[in-house]
Amino acid sequence: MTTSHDREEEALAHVMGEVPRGALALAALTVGLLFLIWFLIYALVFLPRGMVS
Amino acid sequence: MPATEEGILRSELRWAIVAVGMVSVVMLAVIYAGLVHHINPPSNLETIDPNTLHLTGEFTETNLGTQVTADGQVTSRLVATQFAFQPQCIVVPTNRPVVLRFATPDVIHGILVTGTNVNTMVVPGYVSQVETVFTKTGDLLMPCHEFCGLGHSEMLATVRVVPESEFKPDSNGRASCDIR
Repeated sequence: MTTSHDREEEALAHVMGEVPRGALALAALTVGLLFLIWFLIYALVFLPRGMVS
Repeated sequence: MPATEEGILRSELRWAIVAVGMVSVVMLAVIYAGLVHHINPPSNLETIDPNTLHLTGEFTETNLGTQVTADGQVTSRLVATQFAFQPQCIVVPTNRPVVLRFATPDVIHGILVTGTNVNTMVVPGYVSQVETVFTKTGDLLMPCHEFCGLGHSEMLATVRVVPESEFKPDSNGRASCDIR
């Protein structure tokens, strides 16, 4: 016989299975955007500014 | 992705691989810039006495500005002081290696030439040297980028980049913004 407590535990386990996936997607998106902006500045601003040593 | 110990460990491992991959790409980009485009941090180590640099040696007033030596090397010498560069304007040709040399008798300054990768500190007791090739003509602003006192924001010079055909040093190999 399932009690309301059991159902809450089940719902919690379901949510805890979803949350890390969302966190990972958010982290990947933000870090990916940061890396893309870094690369655009490197390729379109830094390299064309020419040699220096 | 289950929130088990094993699942967490697996996602952390994957994230670590992503992080190592990104650092590797950045390191490869730095090496590529250094080897292919010759973009390296200026690393000249040369000392000079800041008390006498205006009296004797290469940074005396008559020796400042742009000079072309017999072997064709273009060298510009500037003194950074509170709160001006001496000279206020230097002229250099396009598409030729140019050596910029800086010294200061007072406090720490810094220079950058806008639109280029030229960027260095100018520290009392040391000669700062940057080698570069200017590819575009025009008047480039060269401000002091290290706070050096109350007049810091007024401290700037001009790097006048002219086509090589217009770069005409005099018989002593000297070129200035007035006569080019």
